[in-house]
Amino acid sequence: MAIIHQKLESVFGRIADWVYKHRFTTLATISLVTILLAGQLPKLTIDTRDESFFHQNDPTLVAYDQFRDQFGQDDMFFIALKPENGLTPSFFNTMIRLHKELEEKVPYLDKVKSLINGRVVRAQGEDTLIVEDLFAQPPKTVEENKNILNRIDHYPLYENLLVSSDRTLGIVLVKAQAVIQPAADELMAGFAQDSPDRQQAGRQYLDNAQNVEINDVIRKIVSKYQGQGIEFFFAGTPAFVAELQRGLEEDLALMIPLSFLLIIIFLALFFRRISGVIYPLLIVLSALVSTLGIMAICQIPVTNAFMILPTFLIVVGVGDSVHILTIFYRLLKSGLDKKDAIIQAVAYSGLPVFMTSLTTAFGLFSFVWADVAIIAQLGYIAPAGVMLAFLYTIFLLPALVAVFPVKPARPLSAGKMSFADRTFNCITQITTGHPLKVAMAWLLIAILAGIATSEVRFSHNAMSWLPPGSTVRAGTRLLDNKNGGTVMLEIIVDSGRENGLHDPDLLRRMDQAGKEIPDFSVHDIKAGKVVSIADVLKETNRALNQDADSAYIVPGSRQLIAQELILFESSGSDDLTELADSTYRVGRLSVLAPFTDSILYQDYVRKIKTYLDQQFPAETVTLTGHMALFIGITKLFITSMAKSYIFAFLVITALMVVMIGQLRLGPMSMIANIIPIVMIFGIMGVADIPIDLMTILVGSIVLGLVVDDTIHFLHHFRRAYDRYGSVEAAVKETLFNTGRALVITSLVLCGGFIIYTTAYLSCYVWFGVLIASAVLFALAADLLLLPALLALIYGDKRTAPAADLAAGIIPPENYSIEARDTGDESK
Amino acid sequence: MKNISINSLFWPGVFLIALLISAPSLAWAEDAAARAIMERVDARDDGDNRTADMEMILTDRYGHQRVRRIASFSKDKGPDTMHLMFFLHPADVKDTAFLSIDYDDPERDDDQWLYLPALRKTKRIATSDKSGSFMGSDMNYSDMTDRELNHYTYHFFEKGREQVFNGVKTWAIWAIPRSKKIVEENGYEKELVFVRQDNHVIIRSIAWVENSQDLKYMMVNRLEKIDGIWVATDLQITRKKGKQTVHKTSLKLTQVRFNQKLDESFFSIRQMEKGI
Repeated sequence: MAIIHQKLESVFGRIADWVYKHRFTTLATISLVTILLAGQLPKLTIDTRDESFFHQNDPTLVAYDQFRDQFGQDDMFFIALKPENGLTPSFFNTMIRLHKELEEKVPYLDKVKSLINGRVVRAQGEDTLIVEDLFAQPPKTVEENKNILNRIDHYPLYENLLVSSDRTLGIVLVKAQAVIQPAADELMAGFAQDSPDRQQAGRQYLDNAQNVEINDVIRKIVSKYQGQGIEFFFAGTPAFVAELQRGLEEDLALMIPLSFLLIIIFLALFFRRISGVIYPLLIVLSALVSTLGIMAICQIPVTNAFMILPTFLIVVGVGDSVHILTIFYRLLKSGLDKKDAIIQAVAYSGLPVFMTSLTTAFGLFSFVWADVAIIAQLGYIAPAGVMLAFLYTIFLLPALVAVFPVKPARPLSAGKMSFADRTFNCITQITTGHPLKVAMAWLLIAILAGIATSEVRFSHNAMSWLPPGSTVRAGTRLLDNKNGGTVMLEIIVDSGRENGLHDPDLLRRMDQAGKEIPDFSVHDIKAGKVVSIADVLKETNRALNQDADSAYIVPGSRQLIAQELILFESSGSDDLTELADSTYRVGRLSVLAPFTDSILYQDYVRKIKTYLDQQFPAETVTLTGHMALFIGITKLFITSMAKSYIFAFLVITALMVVMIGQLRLGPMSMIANIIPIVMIFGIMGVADIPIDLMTILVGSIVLGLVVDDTIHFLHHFRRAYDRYGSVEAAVKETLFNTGRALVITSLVLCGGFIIYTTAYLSCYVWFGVLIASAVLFALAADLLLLPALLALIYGDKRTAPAADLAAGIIPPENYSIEARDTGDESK
Repeated sequence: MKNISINSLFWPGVFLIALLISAPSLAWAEDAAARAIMERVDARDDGDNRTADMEMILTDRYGHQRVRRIASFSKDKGPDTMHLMFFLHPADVKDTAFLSIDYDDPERDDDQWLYLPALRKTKRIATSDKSGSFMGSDMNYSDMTDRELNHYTYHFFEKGREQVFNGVKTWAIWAIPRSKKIVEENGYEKELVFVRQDNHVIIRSIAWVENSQDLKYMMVNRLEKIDGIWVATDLQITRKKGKQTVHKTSLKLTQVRFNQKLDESFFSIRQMEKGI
């Protein structure tokens, strides 16, 4: 294994040598590739929809798409109008103008619904049915206004949907088209008969950009009506998705520059050289741009999960350069010219940098098997980014060093040990001197953290990501409290036969479900509204019976039901298309409920499902809609987490064995890497931080990151141990040589993830805090636990050089590349 | 001004006169030649006292079909037109009857009655909105009633005033509603109609549905001359969103006869309740 390692090291040395000789060719090639990939950036898209969490073949999404194909969008843009003086003629007048303007100007519109066009069927006299809108013209007198209010009271279909039960809110619902069709190529082509293929071509569901476009137009229109005695609130999934996208864009715009600023500060302080700042910066910038370019080519959108990538790549990518430049500058100081220095630095650090890139990449690659689609996408693109950063480092760094001048280094001066070295010396003595005590202390920490881990819970409440003052959050809260809610659960009842909905027994059961479901209360979730075809029939039946309240029932015979449906169809309303399929085989019960944590919906929907199974034993019942999507997302979290964590652990452990080259060291080293993760979950348990879209990523990402330090440590330790035969001496040399780089890269990582605490969306705040903490814990484990474990496992082979080192006779600055490369350890 | 009568071609007549609004369109100058053609369409003999059996096949986007069979009767009463329809199929709606009187006076709402045999009641349906779907089909009420020529401006299709379909030459003419009110009443923003040059029958049309991306394509599949009157006995109306068919209605007329003995008293509530 050691021979393989040496061969690999020489490969990296030869690469650096080749690059140095062909520096201009290398620079030109890299520049060309980077520019080409950068050219793809305008094609990047953003997707913050709930559907983006699902793979295309996920049964939950398939059911949802089928539903949307049949009935259109279930989620609507809610505009709540809160008039200062109640539902007055002036208010209705404003509402009419707003309604009509929305109809005229909102793109991708299916329909606008409000009290203005709520369809009513009512009796007039003995023999006349009036089919009309609730009111088409604004009331001019108090009496007319009173009539409208009375009519609203008479039609329960609209309460808690288009008007709040306390009559303080009027609601305008904007429903977008579910599927956006490409324009017909040519007008006359529409006369041609369709084939299914032709119909499907270019067909797409409403995407994020279109959703945002709708949101922007609506808000622009509504802004004109502000300040007229009406307060406006916005809610509903489309408004929420647009708000999320805005948050995402804000966070990207803030965090990427902050990350670069952090890197600049760290590099300037650490290297105190312009080249030490510019080169790593160029490398990570190129890697980031190229990764985004590849995303654009692969049509991978920017999602909430993707948000971690830019800062992650920046801080991880810069670590590669730091490790090589640290050695490079040290060799310069030792008197080597820049060519030999860079070649030997790449030869020396290339392999561990490659190995750490691999482990980080595999930690991220574990997401590929995630059931959450946007996490799976991250599993492809993030490892690609990490490996790109490695390649840029290996090829671009020597080329830059070769082309541009490097300030000569001041010669090394012998003297007393620095503070850092004294600290490392102290650490060595404690950990290798009392390994058992140190290990037991860590064991105790791990046990305590493990106990706290049992308190961790799952959660998905994207609304809580928004600041409390955000317009959508405020609007959602208002509508959840005052109106029926803002989240739809769609219950699809399939009778299994054409005209099955003509069966009065089935319709009565649907009607009963509509009355009983609002009484269910689980975790304070209570439906504010349930609508089905039974409501339309009851209204029509009442109108046919002189508006007698006793006739507000489902008709008693299938003939009457069929004929009343004909009547309703003939009334000019197309409302039925939203409540049943065209063959009256499938009916829809729409349940409107408040927005809350998805995990809580599980129990609520489970209760409804149990009820529906009893209520519709002979029918097929499917649950879909946004509430079902939310539940599906939560389930995906759990399975995704299990899959990615197991994969990351197994693969990274195997990689550690291979990279370290010793079977017993690999699993042992993982102890030092697992404990920080257990500690993180312990903190989550104590602080009640749930596992959600972002925190679910922590485990695998941390594992991929923290093993990097362990690899660097063990890589050096193995050499030193072979050289000195003493654990203490080997640990000391390891810390003297790589300790600074480990601390610096860890601090850079930590700082990089702390940047997330500035995010607009709160989900990134905890993510940043947890990963930053994990990195620090891992650094502590590498410095304080790993040496103790090594001391427990390894015994001393030889002692003389160790004694020298312990006495500080061989300072770390005297490290000789030549000595190591020639394998002449007696030097 | 004589109305275009729906009796002549029945359903096609419907689409004949399309409507349309839109501010820019109001600025379009009327083309005298186009209007003259539409006047010839309007003046064509559409027959009277007609009886027919109608089969309406409604197909949704998934190919699910519903079939309705209807016996239809129509008669002119002065400038007004009376229609009486009895549902024959499916069984649940058999004997359900629909009576309407289409008044020539544009200011007067049409009268409509529906007889529900299960309830043994006839109800008058009062609505001024003709833009809703007619009995679940892809036609709306405006398609069933006559339209005033003066409600529209006409001009030729800018991409070619002549269009040929299956070797048959047509005039391609825009029918643009003169006011927003007409658009709202009838549900179409504008319509492009194709008038056969040899007999002045509209054999195809495209209607722009108000407040929607949808287009309705009407296509006459079979045109027959019955008792000297051109009748579209097979036509199809397809509602499309972009390239996708949203819904489709196929109408077939059989047993079409004109000049039958239909008394005015036949078009009555009593007859609806009595059945045929």
